[in-house]
Amino acid sequence: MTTPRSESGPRPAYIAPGPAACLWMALAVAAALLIVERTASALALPGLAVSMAVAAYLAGAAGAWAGATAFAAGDHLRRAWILIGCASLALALGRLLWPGELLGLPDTAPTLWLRSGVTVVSNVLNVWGMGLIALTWLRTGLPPPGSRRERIAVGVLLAAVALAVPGPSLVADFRAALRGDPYSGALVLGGACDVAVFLFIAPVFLTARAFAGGSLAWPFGLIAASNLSWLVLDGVELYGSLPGVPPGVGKASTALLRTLACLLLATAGITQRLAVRGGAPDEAPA
Amino acid sequence: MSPSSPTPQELIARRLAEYLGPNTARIAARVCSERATGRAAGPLTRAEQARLLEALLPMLRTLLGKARAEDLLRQLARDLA
Repeated sequence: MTTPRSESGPRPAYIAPGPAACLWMALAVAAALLIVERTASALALPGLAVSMAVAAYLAGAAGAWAGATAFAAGDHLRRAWILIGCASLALALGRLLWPGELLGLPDTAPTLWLRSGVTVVSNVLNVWGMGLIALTWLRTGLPPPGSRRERIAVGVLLAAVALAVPGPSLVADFRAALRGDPYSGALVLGGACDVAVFLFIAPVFLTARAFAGGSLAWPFGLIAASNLSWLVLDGVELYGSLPGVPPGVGKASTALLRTLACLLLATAGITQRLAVRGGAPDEAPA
Repeated sequence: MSPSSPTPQELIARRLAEYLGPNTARIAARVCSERATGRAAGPLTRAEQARLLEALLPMLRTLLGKARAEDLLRQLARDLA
């Protein structure tokens, strides 16, 4: 709860939910969306399942917009949030480009190309935005966060996972692209962007950890958690179809992780706004 | 300033802790104080305090945006006054 006051006098008081409350709400919405998505899947209602995915992407874009509006034109993090929001919006647009998907119809070649193009644009915007977020600490001019040992351990661990998860499919797509399959070229670019975003998890996580106890820990921590969800989703897509894994588990997990990643991003944007615009009490610190 | 009064760096760290957390706020106050005045801790003259606040601006502008950073610096100036 915050009751900010301006320089010139008291402003009307308002009650804003705390970051923890925002996170719980996001998790509750993720659970609700998953139930709807699974029900739609069980009842063979592809349109509803697609709508849920679009809703999740739009929620991510709206949260990023909230984060961007906390800043003014020219601010470093405003640019980052706008890029991330546009990336999320492009993903929603990509799902809506083929209306036939709502009826469960297979994609046609022209729309498949268009969707691939939109996905590539989304990936590039996301890498750009996440890169700016990851570079935030460097721009502050403060000494590197955490101990040297901690930075190396977190960096090596997350880099190994970031390369191992999308790596095999990236290599396969790369080989197919070399054989002249242009669609695989788009997949290679998308996979490379995924690797880049996953590599950014370590610096963003270390930044969040350095801000522990402060309001800025929330947006950075939730961005890292969102990207971690995408990383696990990639892992599930890769290994979910292995022998021994019950059918449907991979698909359900994918839906849950995608929704979770989008809602964590949305919450990150909201907590960014709360951190910047929430306002600090004017009285001297205790 | 009495012997028990908090130093400017401590006052700044307390204010920044809300955003940066206590540990990073302390580091930020010390690092910026050292860069601006050559001293990481201890009492500062009015001119040194002004230089210290100026040194905090780039970091705060990156993290909180220009408007909030300038607002916070005004609060810090009042804290130090």
